[in-house]
Amino acid sequence: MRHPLEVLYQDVGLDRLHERVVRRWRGGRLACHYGCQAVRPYDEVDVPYNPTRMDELLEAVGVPTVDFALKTKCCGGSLTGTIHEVGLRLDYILLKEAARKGAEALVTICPLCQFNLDAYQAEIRRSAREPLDLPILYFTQVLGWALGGDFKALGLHRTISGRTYVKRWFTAQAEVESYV
Amino acid sequence: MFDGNGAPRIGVYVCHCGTNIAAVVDVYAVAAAAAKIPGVVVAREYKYLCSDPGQELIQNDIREFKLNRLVVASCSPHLHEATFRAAALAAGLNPFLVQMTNIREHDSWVHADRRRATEKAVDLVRAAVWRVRRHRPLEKGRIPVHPEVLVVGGGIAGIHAALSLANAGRHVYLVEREPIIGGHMAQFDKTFPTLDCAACILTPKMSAVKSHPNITLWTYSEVTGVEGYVGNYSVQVTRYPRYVREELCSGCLECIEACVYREAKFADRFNYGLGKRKPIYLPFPQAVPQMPVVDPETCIQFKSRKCKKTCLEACGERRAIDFTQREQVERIQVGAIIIATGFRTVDPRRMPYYGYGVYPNVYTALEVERLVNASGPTGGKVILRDGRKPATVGIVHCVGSRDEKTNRWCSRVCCMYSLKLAHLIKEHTGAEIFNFYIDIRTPGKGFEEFYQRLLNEGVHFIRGRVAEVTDWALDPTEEGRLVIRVEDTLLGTVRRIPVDMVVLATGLEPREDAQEVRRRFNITCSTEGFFLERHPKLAPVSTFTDGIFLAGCCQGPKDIPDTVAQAGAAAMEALALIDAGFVEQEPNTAWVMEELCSSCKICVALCPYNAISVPAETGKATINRALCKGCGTCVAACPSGSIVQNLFEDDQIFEEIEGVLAYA
Repeated sequence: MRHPLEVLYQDVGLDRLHERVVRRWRGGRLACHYGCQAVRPYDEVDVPYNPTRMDELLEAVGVPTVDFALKTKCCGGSLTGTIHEVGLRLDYILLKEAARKGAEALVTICPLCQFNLDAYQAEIRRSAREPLDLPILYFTQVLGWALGGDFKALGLHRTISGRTYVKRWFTAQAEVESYV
Repeated sequence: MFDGNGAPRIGVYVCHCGTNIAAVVDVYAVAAAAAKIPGVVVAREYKYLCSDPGQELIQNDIREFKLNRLVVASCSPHLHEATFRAAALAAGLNPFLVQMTNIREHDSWVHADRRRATEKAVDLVRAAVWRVRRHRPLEKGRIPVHPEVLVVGGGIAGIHAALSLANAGRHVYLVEREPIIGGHMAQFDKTFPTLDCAACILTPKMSAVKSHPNITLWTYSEVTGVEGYVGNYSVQVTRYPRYVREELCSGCLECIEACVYREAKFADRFNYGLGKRKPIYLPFPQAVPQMPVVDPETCIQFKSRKCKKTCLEACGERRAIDFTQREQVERIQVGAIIIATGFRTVDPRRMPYYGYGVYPNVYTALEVERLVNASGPTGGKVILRDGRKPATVGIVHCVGSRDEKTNRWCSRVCCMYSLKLAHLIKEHTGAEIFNFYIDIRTPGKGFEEFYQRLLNEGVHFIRGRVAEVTDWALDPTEEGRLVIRVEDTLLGTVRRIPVDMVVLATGLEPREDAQEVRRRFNITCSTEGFFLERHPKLAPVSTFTDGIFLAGCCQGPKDIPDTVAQAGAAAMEALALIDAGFVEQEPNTAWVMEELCSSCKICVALCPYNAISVPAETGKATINRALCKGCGTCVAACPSGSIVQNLFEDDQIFEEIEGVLAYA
């Protein structure tokens, strides 16, 4: 069993991805969040302390990333379902730091990270009394968009938070600008 | 003295070793059984044979019964072989006609059944008797010793060892890889716990080295080849060009002033890149030798050959600057070698979670050592890279020490130097200081008192290994600062401490080329890579290679007083060796029966001590007795059976085997 990040990075490679880019990214920087178990305890997917492969993939398709110190920190995991407020607190820390670093969206390599950060954002917004509204994307959604993927086929219409942003940068602009 | 001819007259001595042997083995029965073995003239048991009366008993028997061989059944030959050989020699018997058999470690200590343990003891004694009948008298060899000593490494260990030997009137070669001597100690500001200025106590010793008539100092030089053996090492030293001729330079340093670079602009290695230097430079003001070095990487003359060479003009008639200088190779003969090659500090980039190399305000302890030093890059001001004075400083202990992920050992000096730096930074800046420690280890004279003093000065101590140094801020007080996340194990909670400056107390580890050096000098390393002493308690400065001694941190982390003590001990051991004028050699070496040697040269490659050669004129293998350690590898490997090892000859070993199997 292999993680898509590993396959895309090792088997496909940065160069081949770069060659196939058809859309130019006009948005801002994104934050890459790797989470816990993709890089721990085994280091086949990436370096456990400072993983960079998702950043490299995104940069290869022209999407700039921020230096995100919390990229391997807990997204709340299953705590959002058990000790709810602890899970939300962990999500809040990630979202706030990503926003502080100037990231316009958070990109994950884990469906649970994506779900936690995305689905509870409204609740976090209320409890923290802060205007957080960050789109949370799976990394293949960003890559797929750059390679010319369809908005719906990439599931971009199913994102919950930051919908305005997603609609602005992942649809209209794509029609305007062609990379090739 | 008995010449080995004539019928064997053997004395057998069975030791009680108090109750160590006698409680399990029936020593009386063993002696009685031994008395019946052909060739045995007398067999006795005794309570402690190693005692003076025990030895006298043996010596009286040698004279009275005209014994020409001895068997001592007692403990391991490691403990008392020398004792009984000396006793035999004193009574006029060749010491190599004594055979010990171990009925303690090999018998009484590992068996409970008295009857069967006694039978085993009888078998062992019989084997020894059968073996000793085949022994020949042997003589110890004597190898002359060259009276000079080589010291490798010019840190405080090498300096102290060299001075000790030179003061004793011996000639010493001190070889240092860097352009200057002083090592790590020259980079320190103060020394713990007395807060003596490191330079003030080191520079007099450095100058003494330079001016001592008995010391030949070679800086910017490396030992590139070692051949030979104890007492007779021939060493090749490569001297790298500094492009300033040592014999002509007066140390006026006008060339540095005159360099076409008006401003110093290249990273200065002595200050870990915190300061700048010119292409021609003196690493630090009190450097010994007081002589500039030219760095060909940055010097315009080397890069383009089109420099105005204002340095040459400044040097004038002395003509000390020489761009054509080349590498030189010196060959020297020495009797002993002291290795004092020191340590390196752990590269904290190996622990990315501490942010070194990521956040500019994370420093290593050695960098801070240079910051607080008056001759350092900031003139002794503790300021951050952006020029701010830190208001809060966190010192992270055990970076690369006591850590399963990096190095498992305690580096011994970091607790104390962290306390020292805490004191110095507080003194310089008045900053609030946090120490993050696992355990405070202050075992040393005045060390614990120093720790108490720091506690009274109001330095904070938080017990817990730091999880990470990061810049993510949770509230405005953390904005723009470094946050140390740590579990405070005394409070039982995770804390976030925002600071302006982080000091990583990096541990000590072997130098990057320790393995290379180990092979060059044919010494051994412990698993962590520090050079291995011959015995951890009783031979702490010797190595397994005779004539090569260790001093300082190349053998393991230690502080300055311990290093100096060890350097003194190494000098003493070297002195004892060279002053004897010769080394005695055990006769259990191998030799070649030339008429049987087929010149296959299998033995040459197998010998771990490079003792075997095949000279072209004879075409037969010859073994250098001075190099042979008697390991027996060549003897076992020789396809024509032409190699014999003294004390381990075939018939001796087969007789011993037959003896142990010949039970009644």
